Amino acid sequence: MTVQIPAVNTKTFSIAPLRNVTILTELTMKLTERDLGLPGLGCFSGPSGYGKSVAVMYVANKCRAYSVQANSDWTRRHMCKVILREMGMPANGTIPELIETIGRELGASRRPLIIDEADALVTKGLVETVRSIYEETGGTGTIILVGEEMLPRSLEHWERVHSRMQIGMRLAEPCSLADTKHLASRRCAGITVAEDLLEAVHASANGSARRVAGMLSDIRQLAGDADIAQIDLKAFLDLGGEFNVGKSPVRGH
Amino acid sequence: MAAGRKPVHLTMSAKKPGGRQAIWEEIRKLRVFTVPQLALACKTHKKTVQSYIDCLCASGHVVETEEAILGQRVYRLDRDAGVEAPRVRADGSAVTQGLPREQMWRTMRAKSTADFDYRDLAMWASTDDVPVSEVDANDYVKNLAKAGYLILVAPTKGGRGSSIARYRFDQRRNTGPKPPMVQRMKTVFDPNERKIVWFPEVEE
Repeated sequence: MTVQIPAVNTKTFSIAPLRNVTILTELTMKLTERDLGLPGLGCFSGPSGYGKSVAVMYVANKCRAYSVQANSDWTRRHMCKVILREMGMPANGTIPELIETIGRELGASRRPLIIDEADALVTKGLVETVRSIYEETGGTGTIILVGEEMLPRSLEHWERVHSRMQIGMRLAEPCSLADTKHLASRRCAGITVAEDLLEAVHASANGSARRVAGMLSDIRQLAGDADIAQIDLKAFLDLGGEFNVGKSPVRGH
Repeated sequence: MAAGRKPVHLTMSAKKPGGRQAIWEEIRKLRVFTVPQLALACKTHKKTVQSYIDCLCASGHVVETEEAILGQRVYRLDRDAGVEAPRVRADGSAVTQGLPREQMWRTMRAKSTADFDYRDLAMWASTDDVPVSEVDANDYVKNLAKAGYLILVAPTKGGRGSSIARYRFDQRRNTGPKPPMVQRMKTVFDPNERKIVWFPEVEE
C-alpha cells in the first residue's frame, strides 16, 4: 500500500548555517590545513544543549572524521577498540600496539578524530592516552575533544596536552535569533511563525538550541491541532502554549 | 566483452577483499612494485591494475620511478592514505559517488537515540559540499528499514493531519562504519559483515 506524501521538497536544507556548526567546521578546517610543525589538538566546549553534538555530526560528514562518544565506562583498551572500530580496523594487540595503529592511520588518512563527551576522558584519566595517539601520528594527525564548559580548565592539568592546543580552542556560542529562525524554517515548515513569537522563543531558551528545537516542535503541534497556517505570540498564548523556561546553565569564564 | 563490474557481494564476501581495495593493500605492503607483480598477488588482470595505478599516479598517491625491472616500470607509494583504498578517478580527482549514503549512515548511527523521518535525515546528513536529496534519503531509509536496521516508530498517515513515517536506528544493528549498499538486484549488502542481509521476496 502506498500513501501519497505531500510536496516532496527537492531543495536540500542543511544545518550548515547554524552558529556552532560553523564554529566547529572552521576549527576543524584550520587544524587539518595547518602548517607543518603546528600542533593538531583541538578543543570545542560549551554548555549542554548548545548543539555541540549536532556540530560534531556535521563535521564528521563534511571531513569524513572518525567520531566517537566517550563515556565514563571507558578503559584505555576500550577507547582504542571503539576508535579502531570506527576506522573499520581490527583491534588486535597490546594497548601500545593499538595506540600505534590508531596514530598511524590518523596520520596516513589525514582524517580528523573527534571525541565527543570528552569530559569522561578527564575523569577516567584517558587524556594522556589521547596524547600518545597524537604523538603516534608523527604530528600530522588532528584530534578534537568536545565537551562541557569546564573541559578547557580541566585539560590545564595535562600540560603536555594543553600546550598542543594553542591554536585549536573554541567555545560554543548560545543559539542566536538567526539560528532560531533557521530551525523554525524546517521545524515549522508550512506555518508562518511571527517574529514576536520567534523572539520570545529565542529569549526564553537561554541559548540552548535543544530547547529552541523543542519549543518549535510544540508550536508546530499547536498550530497543527488548531488548524491555523500562521501563529504569533498572542495566538500561541491563547492556545495555551507555554515557554519551557528551565534553569539557565552557568557560563564559566 | 566483460559484463561490467561484478556485484559487490562477489568481490567482498570472501575473507580477502577484492577489486581496488585488494590492489591498494598490496601496494601498501610492497611500497615499491610493478604492475605484473600486483596483478599476480591480487589474482587480477594487469589492465585492471594498470588503470587503478594510473588513477593513483594522477592523484599523487603513487609515483612512477625511472627504474624498470624485466622491462616493467617500477612504481613507488608516495602518499599513503591509510587502510581505505583511495577512491579516485582517472584525472586524480576524488570520487564523490556514494558519499551521500555514507553521510546518511554516519548520521543515523550518531543520532541513535532520536527518531527521524527521511526529510530530517536528508537535512542532518547534508553538507555544503555533498547535499543529500530527500528522494535519496527516502529510498535509503525504506531499504534499511526492510533490512531491519531501522525500527518503525510511527507509520505514514494519510489524509488530514498527514505525517510521514518515523524511524529509529536499531543500535544492535550498528555493524560498523561502512554504509550498507542496496544492490541492483534490490538485495541489501552489509560491507561491514561482508554479507547480503536482505533478499527481496519472490513475487508470484
